[in-house]
Amino acid sequence: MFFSLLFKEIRFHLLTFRFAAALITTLTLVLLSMWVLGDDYIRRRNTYNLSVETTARQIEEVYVPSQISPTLHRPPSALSIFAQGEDRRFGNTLQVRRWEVPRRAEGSFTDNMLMAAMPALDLYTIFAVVLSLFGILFTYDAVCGERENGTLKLQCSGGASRGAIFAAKFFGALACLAIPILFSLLGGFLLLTFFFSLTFTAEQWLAVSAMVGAGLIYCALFIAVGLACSALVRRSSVALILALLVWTLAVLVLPSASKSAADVLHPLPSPAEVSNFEKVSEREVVEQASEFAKEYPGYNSGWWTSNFGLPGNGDFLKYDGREEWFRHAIAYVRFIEPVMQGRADRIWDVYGRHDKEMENQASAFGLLAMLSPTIHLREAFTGLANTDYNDYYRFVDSARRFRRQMIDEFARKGFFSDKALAFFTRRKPAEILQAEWEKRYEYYRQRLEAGATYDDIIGPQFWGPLSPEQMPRFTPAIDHPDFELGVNHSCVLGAVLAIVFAAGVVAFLRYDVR
Amino acid sequence: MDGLRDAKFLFLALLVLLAFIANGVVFRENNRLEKEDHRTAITETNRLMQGVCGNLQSAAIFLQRMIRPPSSLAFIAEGGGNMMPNAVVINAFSRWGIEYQQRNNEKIPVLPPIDWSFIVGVMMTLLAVLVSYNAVAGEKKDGTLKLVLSNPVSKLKLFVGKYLGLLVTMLICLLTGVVLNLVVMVMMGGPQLTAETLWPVAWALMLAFLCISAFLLAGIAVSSMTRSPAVALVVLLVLWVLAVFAVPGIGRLAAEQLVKVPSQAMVEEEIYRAQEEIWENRPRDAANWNGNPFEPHVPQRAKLSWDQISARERISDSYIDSQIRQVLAAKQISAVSPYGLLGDSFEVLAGTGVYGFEQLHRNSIAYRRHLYQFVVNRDKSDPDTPHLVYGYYSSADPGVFSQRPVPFAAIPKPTALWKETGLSIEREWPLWQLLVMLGFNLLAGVVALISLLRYDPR
Repeated sequence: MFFSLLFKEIRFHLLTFRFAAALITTLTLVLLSMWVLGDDYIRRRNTYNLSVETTARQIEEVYVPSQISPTLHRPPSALSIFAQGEDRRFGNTLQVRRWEVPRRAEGSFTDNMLMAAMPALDLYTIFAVVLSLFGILFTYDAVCGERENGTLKLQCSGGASRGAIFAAKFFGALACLAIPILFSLLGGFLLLTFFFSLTFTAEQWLAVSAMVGAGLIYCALFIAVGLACSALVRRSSVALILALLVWTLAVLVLPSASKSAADVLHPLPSPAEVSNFEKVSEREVVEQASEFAKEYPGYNSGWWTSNFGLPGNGDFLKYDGREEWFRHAIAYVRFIEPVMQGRADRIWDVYGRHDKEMENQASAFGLLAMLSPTIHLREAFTGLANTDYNDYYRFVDSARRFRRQMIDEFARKGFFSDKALAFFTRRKPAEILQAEWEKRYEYYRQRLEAGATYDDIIGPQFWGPLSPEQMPRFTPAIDHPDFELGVNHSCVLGAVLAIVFAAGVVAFLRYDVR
Repeated sequence: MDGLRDAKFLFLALLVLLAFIANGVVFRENNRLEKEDHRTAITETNRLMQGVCGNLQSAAIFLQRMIRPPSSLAFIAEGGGNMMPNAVVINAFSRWGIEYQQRNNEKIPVLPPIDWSFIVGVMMTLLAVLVSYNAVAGEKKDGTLKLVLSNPVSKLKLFVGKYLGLLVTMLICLLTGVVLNLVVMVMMGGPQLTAETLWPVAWALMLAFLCISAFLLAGIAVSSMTRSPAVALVVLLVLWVLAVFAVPGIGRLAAEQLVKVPSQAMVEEEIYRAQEEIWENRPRDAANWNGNPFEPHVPQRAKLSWDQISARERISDSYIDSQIRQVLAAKQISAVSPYGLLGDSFEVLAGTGVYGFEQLHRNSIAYRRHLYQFVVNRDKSDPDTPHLVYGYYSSADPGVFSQRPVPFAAIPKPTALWKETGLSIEREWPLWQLLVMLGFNLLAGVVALISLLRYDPR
């Protein structure tokens, strides 16, 4: 009996204008979104590959360990085609520096950070807004509309129980809403496969399936909302308003209101606190450096920092000098490295307090937004697509750990202590002695008089780049779709669906069909 | 009157009014914090600048943050708020980078703020759809349409009556919401209600009225094209979803296809190559610095520095301009929808979003030139320098220009570029947006009238 009711409902929906509207709208939007986002992903992937190649070439210009300042890149997620999430908002490139604890990625493969605030039409948005609205439209008059037409009492006078009738209406609407979704996705995948030649791994296919599953549960929830509203009132126009009120609150208002409420309840500290501390600590370092320079005459901050102090700077290699200069430089490295690394750690501690406040505010937001099914759907989609904040955080966190490993490795090699010479030059200890310098100086003088430049004589080609074994290795974490997050949020949606469905059934059982 | 008494209208209208009140409370609180941050930043910058006034050279290379003051009209349109850069690192020689100096929580997803753009553009337009979808088809279904037309009432009068009735209903809701919003903000110590504030508010009201009117006319038009209110509702909701969600989303994606912007990595690579080329082709001694600013090769060194800075600025500015052009293209494409048009015009009025950033960018260029000219003029009065005013990111070769003290009060400040109220120095008015919105109304009105005239009430 249930199945005959179910097929009847399906046949009914298939012949309605709203089904045709849902099919055309969904197909158009999904194909459009996948076409544009597929192209966008390919461009971002190409930019990533170019950046990785550029970085690899830049490694060939590293001659001494003090120049090592690796640039790390986070590849774009292929599944961002389905859920943009936060992927475009955050940077994808991060340079690891000894004197700064990485806080956020800097560069971006997304060409225009100014666009981050503009909405993007992706599969998540289509599910969250368009399909949920169609779910309401499919069912807002399923009960009260039939009562107005007079067909409800006929249906109830048949042999089927009210529960079976309600379930048939629910599953019938769900099946009919699933048809446009599946057709559109099929078209989208054909487009991605044959037009863009994109392929997905088995894990990615599973993630996409999980997204679609979460989306269907979400749509089912709004179908249940439509049915429940329909079973609560006697007029379809009132049921529509009630259902749309719920939809407006859940989809549009609650997420934004939660964010606004979190802003007011848990305001963040001013970012000036961190930048002011950076300035204050910088002045302290300058004062300490001035004290240091009193012992080492000839100090000139520009000359010191351009020749010895800054990572990634090989200018010293273009210069040679007296033994005294090398001794000064060794002392400077042994002084400045612990000071600047300590400063970086203290700035990180100050920032850490801000990070904690951001965490508190995010928790407040999460608590308030829990009531919105749209946020649960978003968490599921972005977690599965690797486009949520967690993936970005893992990238930055791995950069922090890499920096720590790099510094520890340098410390182990003695670069900040007894082997400081090897940190900034490839000259051996015997070569920096004054007598050796004077021999070289005579040679340079003759070459310069003959018309050569410093670069010709002692340019970078003199030593060649560092060997790969001397370069610290960064092993990027492979981003896997967060199935646990996807399943958790889908379960929450499923639980809410069960509650709303049960409420709808109860309302229908008590409904006066006359 | 029936509209106002209708329970379903009242439910949704109440939601709209609550949203206006919430907007007032949230905006006021956020604006207070933003202004506090801005004042703190200026105070700190001034304090640090006073510390370097003992030496013109130090004052010239001093890196300050030029921070855009928060807009007092951001309650109209937040425009991306803390997603937009609001600070430029600047000294007399160049603008060295743009920054985000807002209280931004990257752990919370980007969601549309509840500003007027959202309340009017999303909530009230949905309300307009819901009150108008059965304006004609519903009456036909109830059988009351032919009763009305059986009286000596022309279809034209019927159309005007329906339209004005619905419009006044929505206008009452809108005006009530706006008044509550302004009252809440003023009671919380919000923006002063001066001509400078009220003119943009009046413009925003006018645009909001036109946007809602366009949706009402569309509702009447669609309702006059079908016999079934259910069909009219589906069509209108699809149109609403397309106008509010699909078109702005497509606008962004289309702009990214049509207006290409290089990636940041490509821009950095281009800057690197340009500067490297200048460096490789430098005059022989241009890179040398022996501590004597009067050496004959120092002017070449000055030229080398300026050439490299100019190359970097040229490429960076081109990049920023292309980014702005792309965003503006996205907005123009989204203006196909009344909601996109409304959002864009609200941002113009509030001076937020890309318009606020554009102004910061222009003002930073003007300020940098002004500051540089000040340094040049001060240096002229010092006979002990070669008058070569050049520098780098945070240093300058000692003695190439004056190192005499300079009074703090004489140094140009970026705050002089903005008025005390924090409003943008150049008020722009969304004229073409207004015309297009009028066009939407005209088009929807003509279609609605023709549909109703051709409608068979039997």
